[in-house]
Order: sequence, then C-alpha cells, then structure tokens
Amino acid sequence: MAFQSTFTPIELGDLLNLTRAKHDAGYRFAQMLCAMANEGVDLVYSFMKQDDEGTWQLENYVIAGFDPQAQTVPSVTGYFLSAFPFENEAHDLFGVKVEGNKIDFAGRFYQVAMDAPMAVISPEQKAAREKAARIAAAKAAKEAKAKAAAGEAAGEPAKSEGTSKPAAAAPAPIDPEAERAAFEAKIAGLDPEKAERMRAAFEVKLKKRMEEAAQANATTAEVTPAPAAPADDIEAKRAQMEERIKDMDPEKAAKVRAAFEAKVARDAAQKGGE
Amino acid sequence: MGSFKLGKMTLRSLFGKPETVLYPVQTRPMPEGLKGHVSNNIEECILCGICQKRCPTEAIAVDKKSGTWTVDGFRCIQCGACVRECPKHSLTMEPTYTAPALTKQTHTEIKPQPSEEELAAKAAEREARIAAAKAAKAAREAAKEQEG
Amino acid sequence: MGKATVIPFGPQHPVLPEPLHLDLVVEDERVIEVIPQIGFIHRGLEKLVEKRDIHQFIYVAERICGICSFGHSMGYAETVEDLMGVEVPKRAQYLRVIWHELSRMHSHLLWMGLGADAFGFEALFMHCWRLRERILDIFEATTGGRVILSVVNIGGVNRDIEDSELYAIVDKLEGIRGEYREICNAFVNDYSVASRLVGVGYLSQEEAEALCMVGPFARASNVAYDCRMLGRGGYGDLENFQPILSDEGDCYARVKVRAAEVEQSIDIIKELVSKIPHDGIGEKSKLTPPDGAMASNVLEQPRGECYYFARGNGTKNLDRMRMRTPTSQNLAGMVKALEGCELADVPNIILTIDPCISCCER
Repeated sequence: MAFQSTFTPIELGDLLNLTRAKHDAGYRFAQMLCAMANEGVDLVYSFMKQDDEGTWQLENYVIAGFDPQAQTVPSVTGYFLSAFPFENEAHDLFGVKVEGNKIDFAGRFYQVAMDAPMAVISPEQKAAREKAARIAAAKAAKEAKAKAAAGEAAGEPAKSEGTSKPAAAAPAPIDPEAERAAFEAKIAGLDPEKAERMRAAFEVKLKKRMEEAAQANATTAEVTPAPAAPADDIEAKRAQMEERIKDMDPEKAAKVRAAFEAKVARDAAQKGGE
Repeated sequence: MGSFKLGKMTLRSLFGKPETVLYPVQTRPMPEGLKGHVSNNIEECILCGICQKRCPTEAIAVDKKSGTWTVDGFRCIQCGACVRECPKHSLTMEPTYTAPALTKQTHTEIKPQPSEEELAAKAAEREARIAAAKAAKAAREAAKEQEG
Repeated sequence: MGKATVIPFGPQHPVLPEPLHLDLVVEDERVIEVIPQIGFIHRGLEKLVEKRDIHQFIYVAERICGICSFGHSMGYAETVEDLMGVEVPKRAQYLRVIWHELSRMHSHLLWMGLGADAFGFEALFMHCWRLRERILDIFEATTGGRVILSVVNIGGVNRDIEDSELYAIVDKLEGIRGEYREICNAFVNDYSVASRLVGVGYLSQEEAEALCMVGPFARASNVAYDCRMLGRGGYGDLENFQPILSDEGDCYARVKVRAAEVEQSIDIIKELVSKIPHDGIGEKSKLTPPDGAMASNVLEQPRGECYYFARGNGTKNLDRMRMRTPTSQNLAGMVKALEGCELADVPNIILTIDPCISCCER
C-alpha cells in the first residue's frame, strides 16, 4: 500500500461543489488549514481516500490569495461536521470569515489575547520572504548577465585578437542593483539595527568600488598591464599604492594603506552625501 | 465472570520490594548518556559562538572579547544541539541534572588568559608570518618586474 | 421531562488531565447537548516556526505534547524531509519506528491508567503507571531523555542503538508483556470494569465514518484506518500489518482496542529488531526547503492520524508548519458520543476518546 499527496489549486467558488463531490465519493475530510501568503491567506482543504489500486490519496486543494477583509468562505460543515474546529480556528487565529458554520463559536473558540494572532506577519517572516524574493531576483539577474555574456562571447570571435584584448581587459561593469540584492539577501535575518549599519557600510563600499572600476577603466590601458581576469581590476588602484609603499617598513606601509583606504571611503561618502 | 483479577499482582506487591525509592536518601542510578546538563571544556573552546547560534532557546551566550562562555541552566532544554554542533567537541552533556535552586542563575566559564610565554610565542609566530609574507611579496614583485 | 440545565464541565476537573471546557445541557441526568470549548493553552507554536530554523523547530515540535512528543518530532522531520527530498537511511527509519512504537505503548499505558482512575479503579491506575515507568527507563537508556527525547534530526536520528541493546530491549518488552497481560486481564475480564463501560458512548460505524474520526476511537467503531497501513518509513517493511478493530463502538471497545495495540506494538518492535539493517543513522541535512514548495504527510500517533503540512520559502525557516492533531479531528465525534449519555458517564466517554488538548491547540 502506498501513499501519495497532491496539491491542486482551486477557486473559492468551486469549494462547495468539490466538497460535495468528495463527500459523495466517500472521501474522509482530513483537515483545513490557513497559511499567510504574500497577499491574503491561502486556504488548504485536504481529503483522503484509498483509490482502487490501493494507494492512499491525500488530496490537498489550495485556494490561493483569499482576502479575509473582503471575502467570506462558505462552511463545509454541512458535509463534514468534523471541519468545525478548523473553521473556528481559521476565524479566531487568521480572521477568516466563515459563513454557515454548524457549530460557530463566533470568535470564542480560542481564548487568545488579540484578534487573528496568526495573521500577523512577523518581522522574521517578512525578512525571510524578502530574502527569498531577493535571492530569486539576484539569481535572475545573474542568469540574465550570464546570457548577455554568452551572447557577447558568441559575437566576439569574429574580431581580431588585438582589438578584442582591451575589451576583455575592461572590468566587468558592476551592476549596483544585483550587488545590492545579493547583499540584502546576506543580511536578511540579522537584527534591524545591525542590518542598517551594515547596509550603510555596504553602500559606501559599493560606491568606492564603482569609482575604482571607472578609474581603472580609464587607466588600465596606459599604466598597468591588462589583468587576466576582471576581478583583479578592482585592485588596480590599490596595486599602484602598493607599488609606492613597497620599500617602506611594514608598520609605516600599513599606516599609509589604512590612510589610503580611509580617504577613499571618505571621498565616496562625501560623494554619496551630495 | 469473576472478580479479583488483580489478585496475583496484588499479593506480589504486598510481599515484594517496593517499586519506588526513598528519594532524597536513595537516588536512581543515572544511565550513561543521560541528558542532564551541558558543560564546556573551556581549555579547548575557541569561543566561536556556533553553540549560541544553534541553541533553540538562546540559553548560551558567548562573549569573545571578554572570553566568557555562559549557559543559563534554567533556559536550557538539554536537547544537545550545541554538543553535536561544536566544531572542537569541547561541549559535553553530563548525566547529572541541574540542582534545584531558589533563584535563577547562570553558569559562566572564563577562558584563561594566555600566559606571558604563550603571548610571546604567538607574537613570534605572527612576526614570522609577516616576514614570510613580505618575502613572498618581494619575490612576486621581482617576477612582475622581470615580466614587465 | 425535566427542565434543561447547563452544567459547565472543566477546564479544571478532577478527571481531566488537560483543560477542556464543556457546556453540558442536561435534562434530569441525561445530557442532551454538548458544546466543547478549547483555547486555554494556545501557545502559538505553529507561529514559532518563523523564528526557529528547521533544525531548531524539531525541539519545538516535540514540546507540542508531552505524551506523543516523539511522534511529533518524527512526523515533522518526515514532512520536512519530503519537502527537501532527503533520503533517510533504513536503519534510522527503523529506529524511529521503534521509538515511536515504544511511545505508543507508554501513551496507551498512561491512558489506561487515567481511564482506570476515571472509573474508580485506583489500584489498576497505579499498576499501569508502574509498567509505563519501565518504558520510560528504556527511553532514558537509549536516548538520554524520559519524555522529551530530542533524538530525531532532519535526515536521520542522533543516536544509534547497538544491536545487543536492541535485543535487550526486546527481552525487556517480553517481560513487560507478561505483566501487561495480567493488567489487561483486569481491564478486559473484570466485571466491575465492564459494568462501567459496556454500552456507554456508543458510536456506529456509519457515524464514525461520517464524522471522519481517526485513531483507536474510530477503530473501536470498526473503521479500518490506521496510518501505519500506509507503509511510510519503517512501517513499509512490516510483514503483515492489520489494524486492530472492534465492532462494538462503545467505551469498552475503545479500551479493548488500545489494550490490544500495546501488544501489537511489542510485536512490531520485535519484528523490526530482527531485520534491522546496518546502513547508518543518517546525517543532519544541510539543505534548505525550496521557495513555495509544499508537502503534506500523515503519521499514526497514539491517538490517531496526525496531519502535517509544511511550506518552504527558500530560507532556513519554514513559511508555515501545520499539525492537525487527532484530537481536533475527533472533537466532532466526541460531541456526538456524549449526546444522550448519563451525566455520570461523561468523564468515561471523554477519557476513552483520549483527548490531548495541548496537541489540539499547539
């Protein structure tokens, strides 16, 4: 004997017809649940029966994006009385209005201190969802970039070796949006204060990097040999500075390096402030 | 039909040894591997804070700066997640329960400050590392110049 | 025909182990209507899934209920494994089933004790709980905890049981079986027990099916449904599993079904121990549930079928975790069984349903 669970989306209007059909076909009502979606509430109704091959089918029907403010859901207690605890629960914990519940407690089934406590989207859940969205966005951006790069690469071979070199040497353009999305994904889940601080630091750094990239773009051609990989370009300016300080004693060199970093950051911050 | 179905058992209980022990005087033996309380071998602990992150009840607090590792025995649920996650295996689950107390208290382990010699050894090691890095860099630069 | 009176019953009542409130509408001594009310111990554990990551939530899931704690952690872990597509080694599955069956035994023994207490058989209560203590000792020796075991992880189990120890457990259980039969003898053959329970709280098979009841409560009304039949996890390798049924449908039948299930659990453990493989106990999974993925799962708890639902959101936390526990499914059946009974039988009927209100509210 096997077990199989399926999820099928349905419309709110079809719920009662479906329930009647399941009731007549001898299904057992397994449960009803609510889950907060990005918009509204998702309602899941589950029915279970053993089919002719002996497989136990757990069929879940999902009504997505139910709006608890504007809509009401018809009660299924007319067909399955055992749904009454779940419908009362949906009302008390999620604020879902149920119409025609056979045993209706009118909001007094659960003795909770506030209305619809489960309908509150906690900061953690919000952060998690945003993170998920950002990861998806970053992934999409990355894929788009990869596609563009692939297209470029496909077009490239036609050109001669000499002309293609500067193009390869130019640092890959820093896409601030994609970077930001990736960063946001990283800090989601941290406490807001810390996240705020980190975000500020990140913005400064991003600015600096973009400037450096622009400068490096301008200078790569004449001053430094073309780096092999675009990633090295960010370091171009730093490399110049390193060149200058390489004969100093390490302590002093460290100081100069720190001052350099601070200056770059300050400049970037000033520009950011303007 | 009939009654006194528990007769045999009742008679046995009447003359047998009691099932219970006289608690404060006698205690039951603690089996090996009982989840009693968490203890930390602070010598091996590197204060990485993974236990703090994994703890489902936020009972563990690790402060790297002051070198302390604190467990709140009254928050701890003895799940053993920290013990399994510890990268240095410095945490262990001891088979004795936390003693009852009148007030809630925490248990803190302080990482001993390294002695003079250890500090000196560490400093020397750092020096050596810097020197090595410098040498490597010089070699790299030289190679670059040659290339140029 | 007397005047209808409303008698509030619970949430604190000597017979109730957990806070359930009933408004009993009685005429003379006869109950004509029952309105159940719960919600005194709602703890918002389902909401906590947003703050605790998938591995930490195991310890929360265990604390839903003190009696079926292992079942909840197992059901939760199986659902999340489904969600992420994690393969669990056979040995870990077997060990889970062994612990789960042990917890079924201790739950049923606990319940039998409470039942005996409810119909006024104090000595039987003591003996049931004395026997239950032996099973808790097995838990203590194998997992390090007596009630909250914290031994499941997503991807396997945390501790292995040595083969020699497994055989020792089977020996111990055989010892328990002997003593258990003596106790059962009192439950099943004693006329005082029978006179208190036979014919009380009758539910026919049609009613039980219409009310979608689950667990021993339904099986006592001849509904042949037990999630162990589905062959999930280690249950799939059982030679021949048949749910224990009774067609009498009254409180006495429910006692008999549970009494037989304890022995069935011993047989299941014995069978699994005899064919346990050696393919490791699994490792904690490093995956995260994918965004928007949903999984649902059922598991037979001591009180009946428990439904689990999980939805991921691409992070290490779940978006929604839902446990529909057997008691909330059986509330409708309980209301039905109570209608028309004598007031003095109310405690017995409630207890033979074995309500677990903490499970019900989470």
